[in-house]
Amino acid sequence: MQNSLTVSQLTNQIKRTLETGFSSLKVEGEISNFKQHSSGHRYFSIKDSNAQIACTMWKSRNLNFIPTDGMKVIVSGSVTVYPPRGSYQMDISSMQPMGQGDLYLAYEALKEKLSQQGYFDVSHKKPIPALPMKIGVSTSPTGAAVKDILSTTQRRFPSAEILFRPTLVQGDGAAEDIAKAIENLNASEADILIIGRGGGSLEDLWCFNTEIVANAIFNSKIPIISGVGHETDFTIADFVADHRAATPTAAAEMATPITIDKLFNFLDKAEELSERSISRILSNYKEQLNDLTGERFKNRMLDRIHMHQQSIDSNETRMTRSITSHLASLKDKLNRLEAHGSSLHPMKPLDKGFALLYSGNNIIQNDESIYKHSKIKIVRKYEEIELSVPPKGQEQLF
Amino acid sequence: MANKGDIMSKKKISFEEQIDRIEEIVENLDNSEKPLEELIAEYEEAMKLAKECRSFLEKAEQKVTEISK
Repeated sequence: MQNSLTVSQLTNQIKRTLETGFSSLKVEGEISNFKQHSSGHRYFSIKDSNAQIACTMWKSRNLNFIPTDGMKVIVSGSVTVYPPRGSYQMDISSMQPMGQGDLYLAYEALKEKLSQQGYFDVSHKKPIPALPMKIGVSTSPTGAAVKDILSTTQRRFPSAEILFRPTLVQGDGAAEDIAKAIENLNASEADILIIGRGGGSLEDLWCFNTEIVANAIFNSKIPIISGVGHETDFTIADFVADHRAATPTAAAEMATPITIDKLFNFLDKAEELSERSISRILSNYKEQLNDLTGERFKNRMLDRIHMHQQSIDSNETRMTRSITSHLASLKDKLNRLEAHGSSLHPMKPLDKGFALLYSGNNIIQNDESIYKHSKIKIVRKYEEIELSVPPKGQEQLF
Repeated sequence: MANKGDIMSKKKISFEEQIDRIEEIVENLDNSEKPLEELIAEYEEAMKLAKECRSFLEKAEQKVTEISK
């Protein structure tokens, strides 16, 4: 046959036709025969009641839920042909559960898996610090959640600084951004983290039901409070978080356990108690002092004084006696000294008829020559006479 | 100079630590066998800390810092 083709030629024509004609498609179907290879690549089929198509989803493609057989999904991807096998399949770039029921199945599957891995264990829960001064917040910058959180922390404890990481909390890339935000906030000085968003459908809240967010929460060194959706919404994030708040507002309340009013009260009370204690302590001391100066002390002191006095008294008699005799001997000594002293008095020889020679008022000593003086005075007991002294060798006495 | 040093060391004590210290002193004053001078010093410390905490709380204005990606 002239028009025959080789198998390869045909296959390549099919490949070209299919791959150009069926790229970037969205296809709805039910997962069947899902297998995750140890390499991380996923192989499965999607089918409906009349047909099925083989699918591959490489490890590098992000999958935000755990697929189970029978789950209805919507996949995005392109048809590719594998010539060695003559087969075609879809190369899936992303996959989402479709209906409420299927989302729920995915949610249950992840919950079961994480539960078995101990992600929800109480032993991993970190307590909220007593007085967080820096509160990390990851939520959308535009929603009601951020307003609720800011107004609540402002009202309860305005001294706390808010470290706000604007975060995508819905749609493509939301799960990855939440995980990144938790990482970013872990690098900050935050004492506690709030992750949250307002209410929404299960699809809206889906990013909080992803494994990547669960891992980020579980690995956070800083305690995390989740406040996602409303009272009745429970996300995987809520189970993994250290604390679950029903709403973003409730999360902000948890993050501010001590309000400014309570702190003012505490300070009032502390001052009052301190005042009371110190005045009690002081009055106790005063009482002890009064005891010291009071009757009891006075009597004790008097007793001691009396005792000392007695010993002084008995000493005194002895002392008086010894002092008296000492004084007597002293007096005796003085008398004797006086008697002896009077014999030395210069006038004493006059009694016996001796005379004294004076020059002026001074007695002329033995080593002194009379001729040094022009006038001398002779003093006797009852008379005295002044005489001129002639030059030496010309004495003509009288 | 000593005053400056005081302010520096004060800044190192966080608000939470100040609150804790006040609590501790209140307890000490209630049942302590410490000597009178120490208790009076602690009392004065508590009063000073309480005053500081009060003014810290009074002048608080919510500060929001954006953390980048």
